[in-house]
Amino acid sequence: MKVQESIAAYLADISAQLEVTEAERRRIIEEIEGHLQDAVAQHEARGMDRSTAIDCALAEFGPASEVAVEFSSTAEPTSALSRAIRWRPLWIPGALAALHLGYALYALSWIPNMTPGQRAFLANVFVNLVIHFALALTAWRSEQSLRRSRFLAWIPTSIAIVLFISSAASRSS
Amino acid sequence: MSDRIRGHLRAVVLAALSEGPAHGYAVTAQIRERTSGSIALREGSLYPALHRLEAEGLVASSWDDEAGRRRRLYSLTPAGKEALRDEIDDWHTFRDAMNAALEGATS
Repeated sequence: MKVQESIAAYLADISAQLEVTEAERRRIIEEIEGHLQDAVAQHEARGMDRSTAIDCALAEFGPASEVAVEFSSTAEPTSALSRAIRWRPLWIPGALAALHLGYALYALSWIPNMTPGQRAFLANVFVNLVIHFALALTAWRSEQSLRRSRFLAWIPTSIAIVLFISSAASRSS
Repeated sequence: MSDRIRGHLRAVVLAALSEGPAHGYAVTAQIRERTSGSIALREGSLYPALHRLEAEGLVASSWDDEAGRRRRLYSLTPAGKEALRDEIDDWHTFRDAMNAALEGATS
């Protein structure tokens, strides 16, 4: 096999095994190709012939299947469902924030002639809206957090559930 | 050695980028040079690590066209610098704890 074909074959092997989006695949292959070119140039500068330099560069980079697995495990989920599932800590606080926003918009229609009870309800709804929005934002930031702590991302959800239950219980009592 | 290094890959890569923006090949060369060859990073593991760090917002990257070659240039973000400080603090704590635990132990 001609020397340049061995790099192309290696890249094709990795590309075939990657489980990533098309844009990510193109980026990965282009990055690896650039790296291999640098590695080959360095080995040739040290006196290796081109064929040996390419063999060394490929060996140093690692088996194509292992490289593909590592990249695939790092990548963002490719399907819409997978992406949605990834953000599940956000579902409950987000839904509760949306619910309270709906309550607030409905309650605004009372404004011209509000009773004290309606005023108290509206105030309660706005407070809950702010809290659940803040919890949704916290869940989103926790999901993106530096250490990607899944536990942290679920804390706002737990707080949102407790608040909603206690709020519903106090309204019904 | 390789499993222990894998566990600290994040810190090693962040430290390598602390000296300034670099391409992936330069990062591996820098790690090898800094550690006098003690850490021989498998190059195929570096790029997934860089992509993970970028997804976490600790590293930023852009294409760099130099002498007809296209390379991805990586650099630390402010969050990455903070994460590196945390990694260094964690390492010092771990090192001191291990030194205390192993002190006086007979082989």
